[in-house]
Amino acid sequence: MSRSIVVTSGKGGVGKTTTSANLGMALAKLGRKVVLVDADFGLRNLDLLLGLENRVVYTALEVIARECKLDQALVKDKRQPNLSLLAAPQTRNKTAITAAHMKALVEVLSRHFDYVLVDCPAGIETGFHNAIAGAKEAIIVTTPEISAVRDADRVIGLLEANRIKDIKLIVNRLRPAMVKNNDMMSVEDILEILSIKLLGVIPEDEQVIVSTNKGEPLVLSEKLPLAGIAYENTAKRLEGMDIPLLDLNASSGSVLSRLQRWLTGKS
Amino acid sequence: MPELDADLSTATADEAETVAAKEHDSVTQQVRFKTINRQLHLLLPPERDIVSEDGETAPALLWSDLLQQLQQRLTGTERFWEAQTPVYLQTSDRLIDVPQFVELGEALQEYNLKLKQVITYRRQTALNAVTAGLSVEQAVAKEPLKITTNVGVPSEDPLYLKMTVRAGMEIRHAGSVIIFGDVHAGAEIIADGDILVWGKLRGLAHAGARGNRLAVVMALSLYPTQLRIAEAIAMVDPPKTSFCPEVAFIDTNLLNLDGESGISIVKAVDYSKQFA
Repeated sequence: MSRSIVVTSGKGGVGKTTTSANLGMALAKLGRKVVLVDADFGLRNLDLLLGLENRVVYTALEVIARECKLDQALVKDKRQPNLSLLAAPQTRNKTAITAAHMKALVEVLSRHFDYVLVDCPAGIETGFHNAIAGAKEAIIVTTPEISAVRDADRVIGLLEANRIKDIKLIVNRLRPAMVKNNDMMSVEDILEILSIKLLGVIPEDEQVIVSTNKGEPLVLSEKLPLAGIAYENTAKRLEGMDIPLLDLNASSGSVLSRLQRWLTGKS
Repeated sequence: MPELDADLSTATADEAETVAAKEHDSVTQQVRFKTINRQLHLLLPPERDIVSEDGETAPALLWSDLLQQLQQRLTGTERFWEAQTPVYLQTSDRLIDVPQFVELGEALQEYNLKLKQVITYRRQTALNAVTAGLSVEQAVAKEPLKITTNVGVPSEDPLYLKMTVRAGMEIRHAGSVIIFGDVHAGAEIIADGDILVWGKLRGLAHAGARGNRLAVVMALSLYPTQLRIAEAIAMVDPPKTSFCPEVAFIDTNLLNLDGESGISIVKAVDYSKQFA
């Protein structure tokens, strides 16, 4: 049974594309066949994050216009052959395709892949409506900021009105130390406001910036940073595994104390 | 600072009036379900702008917004209908093409409702409905060409929705509104009658939007972003205890500095014995 999931947030810059790339890669590592669809027409980024920019020949637009075959436009990741990318056109804008096109595209893709992950553009206009057209499920990405959470709430409402009822939340860029000092909204605060299911919590991590610039998703690192582990766990939860949330406060301790905690099984 | 204060107070009063007027106008620009003669009718708002007596315009609803609203209403009221309940669609003056009829039919079918008949007084809409395979009743145009909001219209039956009203959603109704669920910050409930929220009220609530000062707002947890009853506006302090159902109303026994009565909030358990 194939799953088509749109990754969306309303607000820009909260980490939709980073989440799509890492989640897609993590699912591929778990042995699932995954295709990432960049629905951010005119502002494509997903190929950059995956380091696949120079391999994009055709985009979704050529597929829709029947100028190429679908498998010609799919860029297979050499590091992880389970992962493919369907890039968005760089030169056109969001009016280049319609919701019906997108729906048909996702439908065809879901026949060949276990997961179709659609990276949605920011905002709630045409681009958003196109991106959600083919999806059966949604992942909302938010950061612990009041504006991001408010926009997330708006987007959840719009998704529900468009018959997408299976909606899960990823809280991105959480800083446990700030939460502890009551300087940042906690995950509980966010869940209280949004009242939807939590899929994962990703801590703020400098490695994310490094990996973004290198074009190599975090979860491909040999020694996984904390955020990478969090993404892997999130992917496993999406697969239905019962993985507890990371103890993010552990990261503040030394490596030795973390090891000790791990060995003694105490958190 | 007295001057500034005076300015501020007039500004708020003016604002309150325009807000109230605007809301009054657009009350009819909403998709509504209504039971008429034991039949379920779906009423679409007209296709043109609604102009009020003082010349303010409420723009007509776009088709995409209309569908969105319909979806919201269906989500909120779905459990009240039996499977395959026939729906009578009143399109007023809207021109609806065949694909749009199909879209409506699909949206209703999703909630196990069956689009049965179209009631229209627009010939082209009637023809399109027939093409889409629906039965049609040609109505006689009853509404005046220029719709004006008029005083003395009785209020609608209460609107009962079981849903979470999220940021950006707007529920307007020419009667009382009952929400079985939470109303999130960023959402707006505007009712000509009372507002009852069986859940947390965090968004904006405006009861008695057409000027009924007897309207009340009640919620299991009453902490709206802003509270309005008729032309009065209040900002609300957070509830003192974690569970404290409250009622907000205009208390005519209490006067503020301007000699007007403002909004008071009391515990729900105390309301009836003290004020009703």
